[in-house]
Amino acid sequence: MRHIKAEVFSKKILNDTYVEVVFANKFNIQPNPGQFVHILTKATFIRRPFSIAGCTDQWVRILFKIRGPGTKKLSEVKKGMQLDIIGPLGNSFPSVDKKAKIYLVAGGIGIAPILFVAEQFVKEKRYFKLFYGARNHKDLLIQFLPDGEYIKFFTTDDGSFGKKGTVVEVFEKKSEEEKPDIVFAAGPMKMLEKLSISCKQHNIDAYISLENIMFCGLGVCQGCVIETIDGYKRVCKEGPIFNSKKIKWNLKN
Amino acid sequence: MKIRIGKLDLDTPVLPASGTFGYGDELVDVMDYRHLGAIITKTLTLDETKGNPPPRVWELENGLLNSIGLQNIGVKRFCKEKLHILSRLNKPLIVSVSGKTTDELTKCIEFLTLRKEISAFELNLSCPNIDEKIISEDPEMTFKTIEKIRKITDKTLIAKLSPNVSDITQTGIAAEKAGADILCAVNTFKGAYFDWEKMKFYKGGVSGKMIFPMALRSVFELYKKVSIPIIGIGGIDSGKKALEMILAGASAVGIGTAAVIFPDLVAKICHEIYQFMEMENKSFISLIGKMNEKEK
Repeated sequence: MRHIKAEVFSKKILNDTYVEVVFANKFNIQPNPGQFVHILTKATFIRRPFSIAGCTDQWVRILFKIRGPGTKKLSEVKKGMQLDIIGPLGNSFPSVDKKAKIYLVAGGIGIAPILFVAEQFVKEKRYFKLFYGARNHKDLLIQFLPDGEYIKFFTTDDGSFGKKGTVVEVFEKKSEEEKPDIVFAAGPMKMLEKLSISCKQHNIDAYISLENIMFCGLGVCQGCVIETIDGYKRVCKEGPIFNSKKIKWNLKN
Repeated sequence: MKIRIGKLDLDTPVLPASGTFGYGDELVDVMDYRHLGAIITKTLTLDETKGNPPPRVWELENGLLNSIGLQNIGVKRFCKEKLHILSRLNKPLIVSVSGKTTDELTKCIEFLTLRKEISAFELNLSCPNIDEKIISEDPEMTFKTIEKIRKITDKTLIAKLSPNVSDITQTGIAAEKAGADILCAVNTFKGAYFDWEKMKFYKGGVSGKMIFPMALRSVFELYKKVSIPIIGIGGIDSGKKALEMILAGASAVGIGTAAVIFPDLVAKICHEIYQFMEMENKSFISLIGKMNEKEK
């Protein structure tokens, strides 16, 4: 990890509430899919964590939804401005066997870390399927999906694009037809909980990206813990990627 | 800017604050440790402590509310897993300790005092997250506890004072009389947060920018009444505020919440103190309490 001041290369507002920011990659190590950055917003007292949605040696991309004053302020950055960033932080999705069947599942803005994984998998010519759901057509950021020979399933709550329903329902149906070896997922807590229950029933390993209110992001304050079967674990350090079997869901972390 | 407080020789008067610095070695990648006067650990307890159930942190307008509940690996694992790493940092090592009872605290110190890697103990007698009576809110209990600990260790003892009292000088004086070498003022303020989504109240300790005026006042009052050095902590987020603490009577300052948000802040504060010394043509020591007066 490193504390950097990085130049903003580009900013795009997508569909009114989603934002793409691309900034200079000045990290000392190359980020891995699943890792996040902690950004000073200048509108909130503490930093805000964002999943890395893609990167090269030159740049890092984040995608986020405008939710409060912090994300609002960040949506106003302009090309050439400097962002104060700590990263890359946290663990990453585990490495998997070249021949493994991998299903990627994303709900809403949870697409951010999944895009980074998908890009890597396309490069590595892996076999994988993508399940991507959102509230409606507008909320699906399809333009960011990497080109490649993988199968995509889309769902929307209102049926405005893809199948009407939840992404977990479609995932379950397809899993019964062809069981995956491993699942990587990100999205709202409720979706991840349902997905985890389903994966547990079918004995599928699922690795999920969790969010929490986070102060330090560096592992020093113990503020962002969630309860697991091995005790409290820091989302910023032992996470954000967890094996879903380890999470104690019933306690509403 | 070197200064000696207690038996501690500090390279700079700027220290991390316990609880925002992990076990002490975790921030080497983002913070320039050369500017730190010492290393300080999060508070340790005799046995491993699980900590409070989440949520544990809440963002305030100019501060932070936390209720971590002293989650830590306990003194034994600390010595085994962390001490050798911390000793390589070549800074005085202050270990923060707490206990649910005086007996537990005493056992902690008895165990740790044998380790030569440790230079000092910060006695966290004011953690507001444990549901027992808080020692540092009572002068008599503060005196008795420190008196007992003084007998079992020759290492520098830092008494961390609670601001949740009507007169902090009472506990400060008690700590000095009992043999504390240094006072550290202040710990977090009792606070609450209301979550409108969950319709629920949460209690915790308030830190950050918003507590600075009260922390400054505490140091200002303490300096008049005690003769041992004071470490000023609470809401410092600039060189200017650090200097205000020093002019009020702090021999060193602790940076907690702000240093986590701005990992380069410690270096900036050191630089600004140094600039001020140059401008005023004053030694660091001559600045301590310069705008305040001792009562006796």
